[in-house]
Amino acid sequence: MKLAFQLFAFLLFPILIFGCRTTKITSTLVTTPITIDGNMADWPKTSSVLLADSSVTVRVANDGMNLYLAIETKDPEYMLDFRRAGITVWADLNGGKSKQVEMHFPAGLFATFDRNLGGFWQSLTPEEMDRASDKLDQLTKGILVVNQANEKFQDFPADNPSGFAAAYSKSNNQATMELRIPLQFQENFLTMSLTADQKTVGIGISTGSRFTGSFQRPVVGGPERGRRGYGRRGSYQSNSGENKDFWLEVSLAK
Amino acid sequence: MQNKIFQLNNKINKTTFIFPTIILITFLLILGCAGRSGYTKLERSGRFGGVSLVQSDFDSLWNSRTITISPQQGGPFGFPPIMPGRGMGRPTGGGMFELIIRATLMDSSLIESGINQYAQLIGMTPAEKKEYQDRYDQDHYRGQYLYIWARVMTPFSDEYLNLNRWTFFLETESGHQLEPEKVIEQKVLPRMRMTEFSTDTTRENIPSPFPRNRRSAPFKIVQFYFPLKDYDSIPLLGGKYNTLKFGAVNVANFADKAEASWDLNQLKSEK
Repeated sequence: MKLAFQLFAFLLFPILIFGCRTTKITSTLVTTPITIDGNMADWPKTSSVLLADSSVTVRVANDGMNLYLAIETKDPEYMLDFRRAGITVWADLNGGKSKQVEMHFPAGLFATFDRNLGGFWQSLTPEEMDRASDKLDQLTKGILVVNQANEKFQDFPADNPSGFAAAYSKSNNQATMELRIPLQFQENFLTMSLTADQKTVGIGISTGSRFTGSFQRPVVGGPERGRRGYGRRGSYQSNSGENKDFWLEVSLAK
Repeated sequence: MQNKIFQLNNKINKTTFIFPTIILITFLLILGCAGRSGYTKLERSGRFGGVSLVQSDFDSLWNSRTITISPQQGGPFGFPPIMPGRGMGRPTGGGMFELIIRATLMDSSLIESGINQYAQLIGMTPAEKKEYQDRYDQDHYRGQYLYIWARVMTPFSDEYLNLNRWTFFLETESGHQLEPEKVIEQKVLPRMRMTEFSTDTTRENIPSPFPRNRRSAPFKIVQFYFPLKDYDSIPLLGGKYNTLKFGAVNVANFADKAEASWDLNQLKSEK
């Protein structure tokens, strides 16, 4: 009998400790919108969760209109991943783990634009080429939002004044990614909204910029992208050789 | 003795009920908790794709109007097949074929889409867009010729990219063969990554036609301008033809030939 209870405890303890560790976090309600600039100074005191063997710290806040996500790490490997592969974030406003709404930051690590195709670029005036280059640079540094359901996507400038936005900063051997995800969004390529009674949001985070689901749009590529830094083809292999996806169950502060 | 039997029964009862209970609780905990531990487990994402930075219909139109002409499985090099965007290229002469050609039929739908893409990208005014459209039409002899944009690549020596070695042609269903009246070629660009050239093959999990140790190859961009009509004055596009064949043949060896075709009816439906 004693042995049975010992066995029970032996089995139960690790399950309770490790098996039930669903990464849950309660977001902090903020009354003034957080500026997405990679600077955590305007963040209120929030609870945080540790992911990836405590290598990555995640904080979440919301203001009723947007969800704010701050991902910080001092781990050299994750810092390298942030810099080289960016991050991919999924937002499921139904509280699950759907990867339908996928965000990539910065966009330039995986988005492409081939200036050679069809001779369209060459017919621009020099002034138009400058404008187009500036615009492409801006988009490259921005955030790419993909709707896997309809395979549509849109690029947003990193400093987008409203809606999707993202920023990266590195200081004191710490890298910080800051993202703003709208809780209500309606454009041609994507409609998503948080229902009134929804209390949790699912957020997935990956340090590798890889596409998931059916959206595998091929673009006939050219060397221009690679040389000018407008894109990356092929999958990125992080140092650890594995993709690092984490899911959070975020309880929204109301 | 009776006491011993009672103890034994008691032990059996405990064993019978407690152990299954422990197993059941453990099982429920595993299902209830470890199942939810998916929130922290590592997940492997899908294959990398890549998107254009500008959202438009251009990508899909481009891909549907692009065919690939290449060596085929069982051919002289034993290469596996390469699937084109629309038509399937194949060597027809039974000889060697050293090129891989990605040819795009620049019809009016695709050109309009490309113009719109750049106009949207930089926010052209209607007047700017009209000027851009006029410049493009002039640069590419629109209305005078049938324009085919191609990326010509070889896994072998750059010398195979010398266009004097090849005759490029269009062939109608009625057997008319037409050669381009203008050919504008760029200088050979140093290397192009194989994955970029054979995007369709990677998407469809079809092996690349190149040896595994080859990651890039020289290529050049070539613009072909063909007559708009065949020898019977029948328009190549928008007329009675359902398909249009594009190919290349080695001028020194007619057996060294490959071709692929566009399904014109399908392109019409995709406008």
